[in-house]
Amino acid sequence: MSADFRKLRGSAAIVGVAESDQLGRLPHKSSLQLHMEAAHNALADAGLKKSDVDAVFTSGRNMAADVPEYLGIRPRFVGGTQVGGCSFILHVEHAMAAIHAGLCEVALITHGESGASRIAMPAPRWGDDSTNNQFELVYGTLGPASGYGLMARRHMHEFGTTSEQLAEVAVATRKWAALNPRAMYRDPLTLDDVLRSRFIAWPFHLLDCCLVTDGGGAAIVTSTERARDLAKKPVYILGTGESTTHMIVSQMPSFDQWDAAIESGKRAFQMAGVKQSDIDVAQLYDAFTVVPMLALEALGFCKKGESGPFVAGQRTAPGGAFPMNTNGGGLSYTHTGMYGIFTIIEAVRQLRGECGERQVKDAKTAICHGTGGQWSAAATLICSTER
Amino acid sequence: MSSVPSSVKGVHYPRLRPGVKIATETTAKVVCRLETHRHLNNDHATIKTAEERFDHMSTPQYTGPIPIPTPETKPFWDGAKQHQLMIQRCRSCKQHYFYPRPLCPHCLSREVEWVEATGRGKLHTYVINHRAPRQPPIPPPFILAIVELDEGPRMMTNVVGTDPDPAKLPCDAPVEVVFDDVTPELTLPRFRLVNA
Repeated sequence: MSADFRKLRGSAAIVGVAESDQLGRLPHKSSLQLHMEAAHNALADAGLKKSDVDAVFTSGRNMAADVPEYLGIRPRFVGGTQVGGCSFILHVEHAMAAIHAGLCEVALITHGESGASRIAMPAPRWGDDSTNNQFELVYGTLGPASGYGLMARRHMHEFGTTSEQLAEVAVATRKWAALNPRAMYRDPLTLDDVLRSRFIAWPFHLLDCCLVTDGGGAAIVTSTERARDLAKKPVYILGTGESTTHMIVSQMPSFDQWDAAIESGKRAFQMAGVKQSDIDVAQLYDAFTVVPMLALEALGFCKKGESGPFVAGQRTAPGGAFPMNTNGGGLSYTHTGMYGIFTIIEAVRQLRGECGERQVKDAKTAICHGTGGQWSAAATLICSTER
Repeated sequence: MSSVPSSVKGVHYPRLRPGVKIATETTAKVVCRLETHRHLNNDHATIKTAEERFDHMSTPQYTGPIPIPTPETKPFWDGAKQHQLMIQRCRSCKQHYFYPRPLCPHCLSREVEWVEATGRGKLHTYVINHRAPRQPPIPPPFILAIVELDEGPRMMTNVVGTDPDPAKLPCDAPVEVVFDDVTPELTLPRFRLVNA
């Protein structure tokens, strides 16, 4: 592996972020409309026009053609990488690389998903002759709830991780949601509430699981030079990393560590040239309570097996030592199905100081990290107010 | 099982509607399942019709998905039907692997062969599904497990013959294969605790 990738550090910036007009249950809006709203709002946030956009990145079958058509954009660079919910974090790296190579200058990364209402959603992906249906679905998988739970169970066996420790994440994340007016659930939650909620796929209780919502999100990436005279202070991209290890979860290399995230995190920190202690705020995709815990281990914020003690005592809550998922996360704010874009939106807002009651004081450097499939893909982004 | 993909792929079946005649009970079940899948999103009436017809078939009923083998996976499904757990082994690097494919995922050699596994292994990890999937193969709650075979590869399966109680299901417990003939065409390799 060449060390050349480090030359991308700081070459591009995120200059616009936005959600769709509304998040939640939106049966009156199609997935494409949610894309449109987020893209429109992100361009306004950046102070850019549609004609400035020369690259479009999005995820979902055929969406890399569908979305530009709907928006009336003719991109010179098209990115359709689809590896699940973290795809939009990969798109940041791909956009940065394309901009650095001179293939485009202003990249729109957009997401829209009618995850709850299923309005104008692509058809199911897998046929009965797919590897998924032959070797997993036939045994009664529940999709992500069972796939993510398999790692949680093995982690409990290896390291003594407890359901109470998982519940700490849900409770802390709800406290952040209470400070975010756009969060879907804002009422206080106790550990008991989580532990007494019904089982979906043991060891996951209902309140270990993310929401299912409708919504969209978008981000604009451009060169550091172009970023200088736009509407908002740029957030510079210091480091990125990505990997995949499998598609169906039975092919996962390890059930006690997140291998794809170890790869993506290592590369992002190498490119950024920062240490874990330099990170002021973390947005770690929380499809289930255990997912950010395994990310904390994979990214080096704690040792392998120690994420249970790490999150105990509400360490990740407002006022805790490690502010994590400050928008209220997929657990309490919104989770459309592919949540990755929302980690980017919140990180940028924290670094700009736009977060009101939930603002992390003096946040200068943030990390975003996402999962795709069932621990299948991982992507990491480190960004900062300083180059 | 071997008759399922060829009959499905080679013959045109009429779409299931009230009054459409179905040749045999066996064939009807397969057609019902396929039609149910195919029209899941755009024709709820078809689903209902197919499931109603399915309800009149033989009991006890298997309500899980019916997978369709591909050329590279067919020996596994044919083996299951004969109550043999067929996996593959690389002649170059000597490692076993699963799921079936005509190259070794460890060293990319295409010199690979089919072998019958011992059917013994360990319960690597599992969840207990309390919510029913769309097509439940077993009424919930049931155990969805990853078993590590003695030969090395891991596979998803169900653990049966034990209550779905975590206290009775330690990770790394020894398990052995059992073959469930869930329909006349489909046999699923499932596992049970050896000392249960």
